[in-house]
Amino acid sequence: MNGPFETMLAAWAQLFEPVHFLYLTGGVFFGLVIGILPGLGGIAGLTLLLPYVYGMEPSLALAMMVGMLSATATSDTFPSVLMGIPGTSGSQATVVDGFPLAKKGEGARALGAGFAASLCGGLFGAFLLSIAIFGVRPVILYFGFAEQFMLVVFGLSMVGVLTGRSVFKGLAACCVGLMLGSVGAAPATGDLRMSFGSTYLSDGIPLVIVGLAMFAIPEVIDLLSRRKAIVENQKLGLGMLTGVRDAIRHRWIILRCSAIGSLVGALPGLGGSVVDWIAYGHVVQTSRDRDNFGKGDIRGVIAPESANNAKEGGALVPTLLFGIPGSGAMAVLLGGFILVGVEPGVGMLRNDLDLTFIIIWSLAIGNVIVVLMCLGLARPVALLTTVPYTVVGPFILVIVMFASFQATRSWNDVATLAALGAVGLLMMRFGWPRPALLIGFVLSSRLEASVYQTAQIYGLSIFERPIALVLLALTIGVIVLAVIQRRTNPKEEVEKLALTTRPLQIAFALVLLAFAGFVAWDASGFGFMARVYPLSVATLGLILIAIVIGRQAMTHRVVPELADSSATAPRETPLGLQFAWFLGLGLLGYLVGFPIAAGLFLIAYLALGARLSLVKSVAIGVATSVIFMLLARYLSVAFPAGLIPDMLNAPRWIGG
Amino acid sequence: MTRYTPKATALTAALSLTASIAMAGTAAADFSLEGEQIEVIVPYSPGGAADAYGRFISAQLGKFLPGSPTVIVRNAPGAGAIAGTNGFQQDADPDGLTLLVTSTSTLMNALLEDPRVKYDLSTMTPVVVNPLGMMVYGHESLGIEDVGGLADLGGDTPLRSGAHTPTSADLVQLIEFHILGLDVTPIFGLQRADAKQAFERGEISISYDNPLSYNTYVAPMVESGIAMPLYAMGYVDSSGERVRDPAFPDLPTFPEAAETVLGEAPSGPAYDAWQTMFFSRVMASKAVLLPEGTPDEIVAAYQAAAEEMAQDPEFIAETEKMFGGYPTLTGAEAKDRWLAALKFDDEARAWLYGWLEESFGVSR
Repeated sequence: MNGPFETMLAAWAQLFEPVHFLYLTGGVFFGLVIGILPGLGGIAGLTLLLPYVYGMEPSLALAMMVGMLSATATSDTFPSVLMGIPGTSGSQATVVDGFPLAKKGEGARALGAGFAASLCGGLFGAFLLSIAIFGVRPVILYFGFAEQFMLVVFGLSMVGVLTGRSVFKGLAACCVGLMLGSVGAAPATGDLRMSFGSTYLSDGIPLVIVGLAMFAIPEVIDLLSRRKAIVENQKLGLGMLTGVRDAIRHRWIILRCSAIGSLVGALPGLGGSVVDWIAYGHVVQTSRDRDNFGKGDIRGVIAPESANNAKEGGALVPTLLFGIPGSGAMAVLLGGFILVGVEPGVGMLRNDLDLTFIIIWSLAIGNVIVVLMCLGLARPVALLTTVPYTVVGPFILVIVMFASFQATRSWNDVATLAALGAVGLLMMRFGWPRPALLIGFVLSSRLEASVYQTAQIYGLSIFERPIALVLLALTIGVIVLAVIQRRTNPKEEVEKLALTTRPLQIAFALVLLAFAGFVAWDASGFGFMARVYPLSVATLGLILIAIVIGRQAMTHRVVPELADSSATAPRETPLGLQFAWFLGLGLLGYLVGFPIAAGLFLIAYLALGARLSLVKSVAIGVATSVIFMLLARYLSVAFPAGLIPDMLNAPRWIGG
Repeated sequence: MTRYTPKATALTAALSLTASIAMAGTAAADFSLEGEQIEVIVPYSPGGAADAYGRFISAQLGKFLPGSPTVIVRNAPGAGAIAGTNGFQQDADPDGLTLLVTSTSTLMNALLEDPRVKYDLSTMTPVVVNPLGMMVYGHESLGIEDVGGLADLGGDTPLRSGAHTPTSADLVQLIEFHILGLDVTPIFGLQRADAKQAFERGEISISYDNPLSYNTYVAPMVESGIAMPLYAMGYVDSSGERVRDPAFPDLPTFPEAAETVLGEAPSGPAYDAWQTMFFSRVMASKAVLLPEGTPDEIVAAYQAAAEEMAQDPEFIAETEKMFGGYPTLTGAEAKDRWLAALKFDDEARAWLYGWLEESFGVSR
């Protein structure tokens, strides 16, 4: 009988056998591609692998699947930094500082730092996992509903750090996020809230859509309307190695954020999609000089990237220890385990320790391989940021639409994205903090469910649970610190020009107010358990938005609630015009199907908007259509059917 | 009142089984799926039991279909299996190229008349039906040894269980607890995986799982004394007799358990509601269906393939590993169990809706 150490070495050796290494590398490469494509993350990648996994030899299948997972959290840095589109939902926070860095011409530096941080985070996660499988079962079991509830509250407290100039706007945006998160089936009763009888909304709004609407749409439309390259002077500045050196300089940030990432991944309660925000909030709060955050601070890239790679190792802890998925992607991974006849849980640790180590090593080695691949790609891909945006931008709009389909593969996804995208665009223009909305949205359903669960099981005895109290103290600490920091920060100059569009700004706030009113009205029609949460959040939202409006309406002084980036930094073309192009793309897609619409849209935009020659435009457009059709035909990537191809009974890959 | 009558059903089952095999033999020869691609719609997300079942059974069935077609699985999740099933009802052509996989919640949503349901499962033809048992266990903190101990708990000891929503598949067990006269507060918003952990943490005191989760998760807790198996829902064998769950031969069935606890055989509208849901939850837990209006020859070809598959030793060995030791039902037996899972009489439904409203404020 081999001891654990021998088994560990044997698993290491096995992974470097040619066949295993091929599957691992194949999985990693596939994960790299999936991570780069916005909207596709670990869940989508694993789903695409499942058909091939069935009947495969377990150690090969595990190497491939885990290799794939380990890669997405690294390569997702590309779109987050270079395009301003979150590559996966775990890299939303990376956009906040990564994209401004790219605009400064330091895209390669941000990528280098991001990859180095990803590597350390990934290895940290794998290391923690290998220790955890021997003895953290009792620790995880100590996290009951009371502790999970406190974790969610702690997650929400990060909003305090991310409110931007106006506290009221930040808290109000968070409330709007909480309200958006309450759309769909109520967790306690299954009552359908705000779903207008549609099956689509009864599942709630997909996270992918909200992420794209808050970050991708506003950033892309903004750049298109400024008609420049992403890098304003079209020159690349500091390079990749500078980024790697940045990462080494900030090694303690990496270590702390890796720990945060793997803890949040391993503990039940928060889920993977806020881990980047928590790491980001943490680094902002613990830094002495905070002025540069949001404008291109390299630490704002390092923190979320190390955390989002570390979370995979963390999320594997409950998956392997209990056979209970630690995240959405882990649920699919468990499905893959079942298909190859592996049953994670106590039995697997006892009887199949070799497979357990295959998983751990695949995670570690996969992280190294993907970073090597990504570093090789960083410089050439960063050159994209110097191309005029009127040429790159329309492609990105097409990719955004493609990404939105990955939510449910229906036109509802595009319609929802258009509606929320308009909100995101106006939030950007009028200075409403979008991260606050996103945190509220992600945590909303967890918050609601855990409030009920905690109240039913613990009531006030929650205050007798030591870990819950520690978390509560942490939360209070974060909030107090946020308040103190706000006081000591030098007051930023509020620009006078923002005053010129006061009525427009108030009008937008009134729209949000009406939404909160609608949420309250809708909720009042349900029984207590389905009503109390949305009603409370909506009431709070009404108050906060009313305060914002009140302050905006004060005419005798300039307040931070007033902001309009179109007034203070005028754009070449109106935002609305560029947004109309996107709506046109959606409408065209609905009529003729996505692949054809993508081609037609590119031809039109490149010829009319970017003034490329007609021949070039047509060639690019046709090539794009063909690529999407090939993807649909041979990689079973699906699009919803277009009206006309559907009537003609065209094959699915054409758009029927 | 509709009661399940084992004898009559067994007879018809036996008769129609022979008939269908005879028919299948002649029809299957003319119908071939060579070079075709068959799409199996799984209205659930990737990962999870229903998806694993869909992928497994698709691959297996494909081997036995005439002409060995390629079979691909397409997940169409949304609205708790309603979106995908609605889509199937609406769009699937009856040409034998599109199949649907269902799980208990697909049936429950129809039984409970969810307003979003636009499908009628009785119009579809089951090709394969796979039963999956369900067993109930209690926490050591209750201090009981077996199901007899529940009688002592009565309605005075507050218990907690985990459930997703009042109208999810968990409802079947909530009805059982009601019939047993237990004072169980369901903690809603919990999937089965969450409930298992909450049980181990001692936050809930009574829980339930199928044999697969039992083996990986509950059995170690039984070994260490945290969990105490109480009863299983039971099983209906090929002759139509109500018997003990083959995966848990030592555990009493729910009707036996109810008799032990109540001192008399259970009856009344609550028990009638339970009868139907027993079929949805256990006997027709997973199924593969052909769409409405599929011509007889295609149905016969599929049934012949399913028949052959169900008897293949390799397939049997695989199912044992994946879904416990339950037989795979085909032909008339499959159809019979399927229809029993859909039959819900008005009195039982009226009672159920009243009870849902009164206990959980859910109106239907």
